[in-house]
Amino acid sequence: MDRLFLKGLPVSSGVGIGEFYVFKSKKLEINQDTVDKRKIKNEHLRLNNGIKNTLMEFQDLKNNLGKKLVKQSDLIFEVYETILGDSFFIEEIKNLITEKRYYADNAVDICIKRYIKDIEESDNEYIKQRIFDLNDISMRILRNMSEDKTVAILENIYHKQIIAVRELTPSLAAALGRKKVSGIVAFEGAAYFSHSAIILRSLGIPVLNDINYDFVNKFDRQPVVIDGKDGFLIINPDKSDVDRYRTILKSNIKKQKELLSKKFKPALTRDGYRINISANISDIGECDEAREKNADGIGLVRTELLFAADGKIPDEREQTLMYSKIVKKMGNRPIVIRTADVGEEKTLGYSDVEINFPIQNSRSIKNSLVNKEQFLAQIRAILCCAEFGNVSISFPLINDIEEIREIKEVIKLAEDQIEAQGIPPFKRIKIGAFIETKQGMNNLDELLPELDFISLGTNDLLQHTLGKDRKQSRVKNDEYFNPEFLKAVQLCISKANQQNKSVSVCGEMAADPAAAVLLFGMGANDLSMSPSKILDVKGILGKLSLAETRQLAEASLECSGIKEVKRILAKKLGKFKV
Amino acid sequence: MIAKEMTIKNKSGLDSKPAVKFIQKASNYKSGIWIERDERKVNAKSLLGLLSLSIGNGEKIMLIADGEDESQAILELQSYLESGLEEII
Repeated sequence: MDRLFLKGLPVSSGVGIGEFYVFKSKKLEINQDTVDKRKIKNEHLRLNNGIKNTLMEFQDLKNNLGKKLVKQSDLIFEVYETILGDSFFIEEIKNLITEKRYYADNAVDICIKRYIKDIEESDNEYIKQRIFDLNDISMRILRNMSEDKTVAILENIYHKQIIAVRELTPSLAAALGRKKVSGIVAFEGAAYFSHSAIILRSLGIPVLNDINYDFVNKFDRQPVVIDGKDGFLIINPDKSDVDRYRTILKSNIKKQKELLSKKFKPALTRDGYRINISANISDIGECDEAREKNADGIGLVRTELLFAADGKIPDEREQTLMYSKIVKKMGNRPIVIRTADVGEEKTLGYSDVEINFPIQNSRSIKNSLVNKEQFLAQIRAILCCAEFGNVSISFPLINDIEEIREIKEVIKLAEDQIEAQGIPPFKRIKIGAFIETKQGMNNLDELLPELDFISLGTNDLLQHTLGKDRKQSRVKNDEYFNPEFLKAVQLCISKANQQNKSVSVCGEMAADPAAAVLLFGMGANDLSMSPSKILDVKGILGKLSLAETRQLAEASLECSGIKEVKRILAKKLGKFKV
Repeated sequence: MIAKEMTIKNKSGLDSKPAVKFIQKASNYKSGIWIERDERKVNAKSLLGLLSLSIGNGEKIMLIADGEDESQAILELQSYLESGLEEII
């Protein structure tokens, strides 16, 4: 057997060794005959049931992904639910059945294909990504209407396999994720920011995109190796390949163990400088994990996700209890509670549960300011839990000084209301802001004096800074190494440091060990990340001296592009296997 | 009936997430609401309809409302399309 090397786009890292399994989506027979007039009613019924079952299926998938994935899957499923509840779409299909006398499956197929065709003709790359979602929905409705509802092909899949798919849809990604497969290679549908890639990254399954399905499908059941870091698929690897990758697998496991043994030591550079490593949390489970990993604090409590996990907006008392629980768990370590960031991306799901944020505007703190009662209640709840520990309050997407002034008035009002209830005055709470827009960044000079601290939300910031000529489908995981972006981040850090305000970096960037080194070298002493990344970041920082991180940061800022930055980092950090 | 021309100003255009929000807003009105572009007119309360127009950044559209609450509808939806979307660039 020939040994073959294929290069794909790495979108989820890790290594997998196993048997290749070519996933063939079941061809569904579509009945293209004409429906007997007397049976039209029956077809309408079949359509209704198909849609209802598909909705339930999505709900199930969402629930089965586990709490960790609630936030991501919510984004995806709200779009799905809206489409399945789109009465005009359903009316259209029904008309095709009644007027053209199509069978229900044929009507669904034709109707969705029309929409896809319109989208394909456009040049909007963002919306084109949605074609994968539409195909996913269409396939599921069709399957739910057919006699044969089994997902027989999935049943043969087990964890020691690396799966090849033509098109990775979010629901297939979720299903394969649950099977804990060793890796996935997709032809389409798994771009870095696709819903599928997001799901699989959080599950730690290596994934490559852009692997030609029509070429690799000849190799069903052959031994393969997937390298989700460098983007390789090796078909029929020889002994040296397997040995090499087995060593990497083993060393990954060993590294994890080693890190675990060091977890109770504070994060220090090799020469003893202290770094604060905090956790971003979305639920109480992550708070436990943060404690387990000995996080120095909680750099971000995403309250909107706390609520989402709860299925409704808790009232003030419930919120106070929720926050107090976290605060008490963390003892005296600092905790930053951010007020709810509700908007485009982080919409609360559970549309059938009564969830009533009357905010349907775009994401902005303005929403909170408009919707003052709810905002006030949340602030009161945060103020009330402050007596149990070291709590600060922060606000999402701050753009300008006016917003801070308004917020401060609301805080003052909340304080007065609490005092009016006869509760003795409490300690003044520190006030911070999330800088995650270009505007916020530009206004930093006047914002800083009004604040006690800032947090840089690098995910959103990245979108804003580099957003201009970027096609969503081509965005890679290393964009934050762009020297332009690094400069922007460094400017924020040094402005905060100059004014003696603490600055913390939250976001995927801080969780990437190599990027964390740069951030520390640029003067960020507080990094906040998903608790699962804490040990990795601590590990790498412990191997470098302060001077080394500074040199790396300086050198990176002078680079002309991402590649050069990565080359410098690889040269210095490569031996630590970052 | 009121028809108003406006320009979409955000990076990803009327992508699914802003579109979902738009529909939720539009659905609060009794009036029929449509978006027209290049002589294609879709029901603005339908996500698939909006997506199929694939409205991109900087494109001009016609927002149309017809019904008892048409003027409020135009007012709110216009302000969402013209200012609100900016935040998610």
